Amino acid sequence: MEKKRENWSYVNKWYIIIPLIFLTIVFLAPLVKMFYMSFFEFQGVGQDLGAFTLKNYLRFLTDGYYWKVLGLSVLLSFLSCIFCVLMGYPVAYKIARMQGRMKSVLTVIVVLPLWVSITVRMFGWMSVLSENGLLDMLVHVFNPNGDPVSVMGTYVSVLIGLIHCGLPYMIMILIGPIGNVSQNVEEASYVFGAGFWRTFFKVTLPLTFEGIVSGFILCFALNTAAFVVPVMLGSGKIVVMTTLIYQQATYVYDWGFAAAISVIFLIAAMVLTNLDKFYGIWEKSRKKRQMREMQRIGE
Amino acid sequence: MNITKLLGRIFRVMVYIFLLCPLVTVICTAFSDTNRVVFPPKGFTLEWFRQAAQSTEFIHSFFISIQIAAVSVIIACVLGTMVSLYFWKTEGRAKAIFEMIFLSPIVVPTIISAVAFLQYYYLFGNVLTTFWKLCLTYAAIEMPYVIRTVTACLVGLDAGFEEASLVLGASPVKTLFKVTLPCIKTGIVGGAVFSFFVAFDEAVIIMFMRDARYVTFPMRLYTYITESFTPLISAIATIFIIFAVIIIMIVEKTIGLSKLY
Repeated sequence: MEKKRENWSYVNKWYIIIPLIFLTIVFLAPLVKMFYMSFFEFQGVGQDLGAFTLKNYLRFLTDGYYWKVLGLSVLLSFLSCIFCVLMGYPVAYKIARMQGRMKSVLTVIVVLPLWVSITVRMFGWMSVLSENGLLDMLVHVFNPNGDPVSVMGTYVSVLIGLIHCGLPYMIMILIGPIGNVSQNVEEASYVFGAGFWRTFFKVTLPLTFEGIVSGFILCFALNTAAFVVPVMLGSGKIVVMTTLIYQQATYVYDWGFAAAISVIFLIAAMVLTNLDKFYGIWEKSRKKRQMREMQRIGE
Repeated sequence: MNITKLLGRIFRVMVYIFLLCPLVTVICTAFSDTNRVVFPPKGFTLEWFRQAAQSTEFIHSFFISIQIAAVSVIIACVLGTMVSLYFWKTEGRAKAIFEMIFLSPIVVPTIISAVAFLQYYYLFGNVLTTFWKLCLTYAAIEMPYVIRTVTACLVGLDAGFEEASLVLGASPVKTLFKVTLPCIKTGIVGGAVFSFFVAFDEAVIIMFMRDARYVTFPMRLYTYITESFTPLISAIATIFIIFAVIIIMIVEKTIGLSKLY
């Protein structure tokens, strides 16, 4: 029977081999080459690689400045995700409980920014946040004689840009889990006398916690890797990991160091975005140990 | 309770305003009769739109972006659908590893791929033109999106359809083209639309692979913004925001936006 089915099927090993070859040549090989390059002395573009060295890594790991840049990138991204959850949850809550035309309209409003080129979006924020912009105008309504206001090139502007990029994803991810919480469960809570907030914190929030975690991780991964946002809203004054890599690769032309920073950045990003999985594994092994101990005591 | 509701409503409206604020500002400033982008806009003019329509640089970049996106989407759709079909038919440990490998282009931050591509393609300086380098790299990055949407479609597909077709005497290849592919059409189209946007909007890799002959649309926009801050950019951006609104409406009506995320 099994064999017969195989004869039927048109899907054979070539369905995976051809795409795999393509991906290897176009994507995996460059990454391996970069990894390889990070361990050798770089002697200029077009020159042969020098001797094996760990200098590229040591340069990053022994300099406090680079650690500060790494910490700052992570912190900015983390903050932006917290804002995304706080701003996105109420909106997702309402959209998940809606139906029909209004739901459709609000969904379009939420995802519209994602369908507009990121350069256009950031250009929009530039015209909001710089001098003679929307923010400047609003401040002048309250303080007519004040100096022109501009927050461009500060951490605030980069943070705003990151929140704006992450928020649509956060809302779209949260709508699913919130919609899955049966309204009967909430009503039961109301019937037993719990107020809105109590129901929210004791029933709805715990039930949707996993959704929040997955949304948080996605936004965190996206915002840590954001490049256009810090470049355009930071006006060259804000250095985060991505802009540091860009500087080293295209202005300083130290490709060895750029490769080493990329590898460090990749490892850091992978570890941070998989923290929940590590926690899950750790929890599991802890439970297993406990079980074993209980058994031993039982014996 | 009522105050909570009111505050909630105000808060949500503010979030919507926050989401739309940069786009609305761009549209407003496009009509400004000044040489720099200012808000509130002063005067009213359509001059910037006239200039935008005549800007050969932008039109050229626009078509380059469309070409690169189209070629890369075709490659990504063919390969991505093949992989999805393979995943659908197979089980086992190897599948999990393959899944991880094929998702890696979206897991690895784009900037890291960009550095890697910059160094890698230096080796093939003259073999491939920048156009093909961009097409191939974009195709690799789009493949996970196609795989995701097509797989989502395949999960709900009853394999009985295929078996029926085979029992009735159609050859496997005919079954693929006449039965399976039409069944997962929405997944492929959804993946293609999404990938097209990813490729059209890609601004990181192109910044590393600068080539004066192939300046894509986001790159052109970026250079204009850094060189001059005139309402001409607002006018061009406005045109694209309107495009995005139209496309998004069509997608919501036909496929449904919630399926893509």
